[in-house]
Amino acid sequence: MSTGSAISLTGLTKTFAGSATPAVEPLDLEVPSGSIVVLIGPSGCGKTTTLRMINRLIEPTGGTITIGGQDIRERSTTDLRRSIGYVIQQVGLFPHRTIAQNVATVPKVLGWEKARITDRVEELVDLVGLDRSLLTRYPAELSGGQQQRVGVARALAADPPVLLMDEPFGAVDPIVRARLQRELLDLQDKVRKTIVLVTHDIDEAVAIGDKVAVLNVGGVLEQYAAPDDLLARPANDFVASFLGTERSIKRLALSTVAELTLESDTWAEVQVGLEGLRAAVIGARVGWLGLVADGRFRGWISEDALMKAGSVDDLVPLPPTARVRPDSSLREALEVILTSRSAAAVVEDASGRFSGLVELEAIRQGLAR
Amino acid sequence: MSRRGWFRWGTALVVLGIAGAWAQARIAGLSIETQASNPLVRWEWLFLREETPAELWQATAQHLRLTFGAVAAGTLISVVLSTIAVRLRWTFAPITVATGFLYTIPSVALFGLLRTRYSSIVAAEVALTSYTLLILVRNMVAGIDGVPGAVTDAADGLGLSRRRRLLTVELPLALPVIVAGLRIATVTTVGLVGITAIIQLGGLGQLIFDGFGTQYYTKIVVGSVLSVSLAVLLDLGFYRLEVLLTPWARRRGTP
Repeated sequence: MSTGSAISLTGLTKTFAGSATPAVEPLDLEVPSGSIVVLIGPSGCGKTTTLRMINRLIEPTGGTITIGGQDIRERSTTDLRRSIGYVIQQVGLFPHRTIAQNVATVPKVLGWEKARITDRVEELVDLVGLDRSLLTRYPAELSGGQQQRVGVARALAADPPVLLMDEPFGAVDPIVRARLQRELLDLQDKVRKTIVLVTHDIDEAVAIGDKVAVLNVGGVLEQYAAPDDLLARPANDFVASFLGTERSIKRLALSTVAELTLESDTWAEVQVGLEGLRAAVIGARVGWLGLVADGRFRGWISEDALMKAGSVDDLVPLPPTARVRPDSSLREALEVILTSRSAAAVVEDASGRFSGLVELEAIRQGLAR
Repeated sequence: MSRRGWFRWGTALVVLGIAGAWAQARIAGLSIETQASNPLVRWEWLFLREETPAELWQATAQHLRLTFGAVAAGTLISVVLSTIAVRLRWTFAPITVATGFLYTIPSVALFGLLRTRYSSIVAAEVALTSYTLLILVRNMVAGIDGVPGAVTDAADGLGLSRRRRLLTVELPLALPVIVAGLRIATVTTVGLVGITAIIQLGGLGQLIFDGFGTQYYTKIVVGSVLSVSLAVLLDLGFYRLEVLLTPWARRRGTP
């Protein structure tokens, strides 16, 4: 698989015929190779126009675009477009072609041999998670989510270094959208293309973008930053208002529990003995304590029970109701804590190894970074 | 009942009617001499007269030739006009006006006028062809226009050339609308061919005109029935062709 090429927009402008104001003002943007850059902004911010200038569906009025260092004007439009994957919201599958024929579109015009096309088509439907039995179907026989996957497979068919996606998940329902977003990230882990994606959904932007470009009306680049930076430090009022009032909540989705400093005095090893546990529960000053033995979290015990117990063996800890993984997002951790009525969630890896407790305070501090 | 159903039953009825009449005539054992009055249908003319089958066949064959000639020529010209109209949008209005104007000229007048300069066959074909243009061009352009914007956008974005997009994407998708135009044009032409009898052509129309001239109603009835059958059969044929060429149109819904 060929991996991505960097895309560079320099002084890019577009003024449509008959319009006094430019749709895109001089715009400079560097899209690092192998990364996902999301263009976002309100209607009329020129995000789709910018995207369509990259594969010359729209010709810029001024400025240059290079892909992998080469000016896109040096190639014919058809040549250029065959080397750029293109996915749109309405998918635009050819209704009169089977799924296999749709996916094979670009390899076929490139004159690949039949056997190579067949192999590639099968490889791609596997890659996007479609069943091979769908290959002989027509697009109308597929669900919206399946069609979108076929659209992605078709775009990737000739293994282009660059993938352009114009609101690719805008037409599917929220559940399917979330799944397709996750699948895109999984796919990107495998193919490492340079992806430019347009959306108007800020949640989508921060969820899948390595970097997010916030555009204002007229193609003014207001901020270009990684999602967490964007949410933590919006450059101006426009960006802040565009990001919405729940910036911190959104940031929660971007950090994992493993990134927190899990300092907590509300748990102790059972080996320290009854006296040690009693000291610990007093030190914790919350009236309860988590018990850990052999690297595993055993449960919660109240201060009362600890004081009344005759020996460590008398202790009957309450099993934890809130559990998270180190790779869980802070958002999931918060959710688990809020629904469990615990003040803390137990962090365990897949094999059950205990690595600490997450409390609300730790989450707050995590966002303060 | 579906459109398809109507065609089936219509065709079946016509065939049954003819077969029934033939059987009746044979059973009755009528002969040409026994008919004195002037009935609507003289079965003995239809089934016992030796020359009748050949004459009917000839008339039908000429009718078909005139129809196919006009529809074929009309299709060729319309493909050219539609391609121009699709590529250069501003030409669509003038092309529609021009073909619409041709369509409004009374057929009797057009056949007669053209006959003063050209031979019968040329006059007939030119006039018949000109009547097909409006319907064919409009349907061809509407068919291409009806291709969803997302589909053409995707075709462009994937790097299909304009010609390839037209031939492999737009044309196949426009086919149902184009074939619908062909069906209307053909059925209309089958009817119009009859009128070319006024310039000594006409196929089955000639038969009908003869019937009027000689008060021989059988020819009028037989000519009409055959003309209608021809129209129905051709329409059905085109429908079949469309079904054959658009397999994707009948497989819908999630599996």
